[in-house]
Amino acid sequence: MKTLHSLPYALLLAAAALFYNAPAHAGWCTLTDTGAPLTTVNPKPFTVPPPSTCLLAPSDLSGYILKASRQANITVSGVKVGDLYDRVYCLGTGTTCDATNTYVIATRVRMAATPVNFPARNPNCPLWSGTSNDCFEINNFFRNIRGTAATPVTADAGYLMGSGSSTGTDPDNSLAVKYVEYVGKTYKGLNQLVPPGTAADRDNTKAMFWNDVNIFDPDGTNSPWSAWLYVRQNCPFGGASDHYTLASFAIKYWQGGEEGQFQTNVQASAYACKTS
Amino acid sequence: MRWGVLLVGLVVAIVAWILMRDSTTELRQPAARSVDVAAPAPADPEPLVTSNAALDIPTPCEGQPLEIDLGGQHTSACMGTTSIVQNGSVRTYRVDAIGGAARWFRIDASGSKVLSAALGSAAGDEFRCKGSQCKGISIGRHDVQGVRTISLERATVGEQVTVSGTLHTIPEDEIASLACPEQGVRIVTSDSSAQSFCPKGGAGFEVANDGTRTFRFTNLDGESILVELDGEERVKRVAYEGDSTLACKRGECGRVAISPPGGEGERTVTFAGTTLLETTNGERNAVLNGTLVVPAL
Repeated sequence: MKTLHSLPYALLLAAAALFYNAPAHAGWCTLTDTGAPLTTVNPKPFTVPPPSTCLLAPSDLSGYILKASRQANITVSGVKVGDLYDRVYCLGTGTTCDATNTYVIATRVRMAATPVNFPARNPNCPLWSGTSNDCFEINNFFRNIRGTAATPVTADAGYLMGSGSSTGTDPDNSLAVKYVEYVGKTYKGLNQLVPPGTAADRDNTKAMFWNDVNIFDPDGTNSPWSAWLYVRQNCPFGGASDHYTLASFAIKYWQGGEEGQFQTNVQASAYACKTS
Repeated sequence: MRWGVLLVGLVVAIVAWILMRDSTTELRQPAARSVDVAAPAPADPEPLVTSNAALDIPTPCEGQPLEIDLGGQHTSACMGTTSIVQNGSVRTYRVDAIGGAARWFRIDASGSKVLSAALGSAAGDEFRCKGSQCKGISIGRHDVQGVRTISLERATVGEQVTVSGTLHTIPEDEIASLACPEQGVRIVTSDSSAQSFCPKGGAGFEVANDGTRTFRFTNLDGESILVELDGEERVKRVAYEGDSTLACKRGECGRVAISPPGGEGERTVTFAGTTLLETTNGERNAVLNGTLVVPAL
């Protein structure tokens, strides 16, 4: 997995940052419901310009209206290591979702740069571990989706790299440096399965996005912002009230130990479609 | 003849004296034995017994005592202060034994819901339970000082392993990783519960189909304060969603105000004696004081 050590790769990524939306995009990709769970998107070493698989353009979100937006701390061992931007969109007009009940759950994170606790040990980030100087790295994101093992519900995935600066502070105008590598219905991430995985790795209740994020990455390429990660489903439950809810443990961040970090699993509340 | 009688009498008297002497000796023996046990005084007298351990009296626990039953083997443990570590929505409460004993006990919880518990020691033995297996553990609401009581009533943490006792938490606003120095709301309820609400679990807004905008603030226990605005940005409803829901409608809330967007787009909600009633029966109320900030989103 350590494929981004060299300057050429950094240059390629810089070029990617400038021309990330250059290729024709294919738009949403439908996650598989049987067999090996992962869909290959753009694994390392990254292809630049990126393949079109699951790559969205802002126009792919036209017709969607914003229903909910929140920012939450990402807390590990009592230390805030980053911010989650958690949103819900639906197809609709004005403030009203239309009868198609098409909802999008959107995820973006920004890892914190402010050193706290042990600035002398690592001035690049808040240190969350008493025994490690590594900044927290998220390798995989998991979101709760509708569906069960026996009765999967179709889910589409997509991502936007963003725009502007990779060191910006605005979630709507900042750029991810690293691409989404895989997506799929699984609750396993880096060093827990070997892409594309097997049927045993499948979990039809979760959407997984494989996207490395680290403010100070041991692999030499920092990406403080994740891409915008989208999962789209039909969400018919809720009647006249909201068809989504803030649900416990609806998001999971996984640090898989790409450069030998501690494997760490952090679960938190997040938006999800109502399931009944 | 007279001398003969005297001689016989003397012999009888001597025999009788001898017999009586032996008999007296036998009767004395038990007393003599007891004297023998106590009598030999040591050259250096043993000091007076002063420690509870030597008297087999337990030392009073100056921490938080736990009674542990390991498959019928009963032990007591004196645990220190309850430490708290937050990971996402999971809060870990942990106590370690005082005084070198390496026993520890840990509970992972989300709000008042117990997710798992474990009992272990430096010797490596460890017992665990998960979810509904963890019977007998209850995490109470905050008391008037913000302390939560964790009751362990023969809490089952493993097969034939139970823990009993009471643990107390430190108020969240005294824990740096949980406190919000720059914002927060003090919530005091009519049943003498008090807590500092810190929205480290998130802040944002939700838009209903009718256009009603609701600001939602969530703490790390998963509890939310919601402030609902009408189309003219007036507060329409305030609610607190925790183990139960308390709410008030416009005109019945007391003072609550929301600022226009600040320089970075953030908005501040101010509560000053804002009073909410339990929605199910109105028997309990909560008074909110403080400020919460909605970041630019």
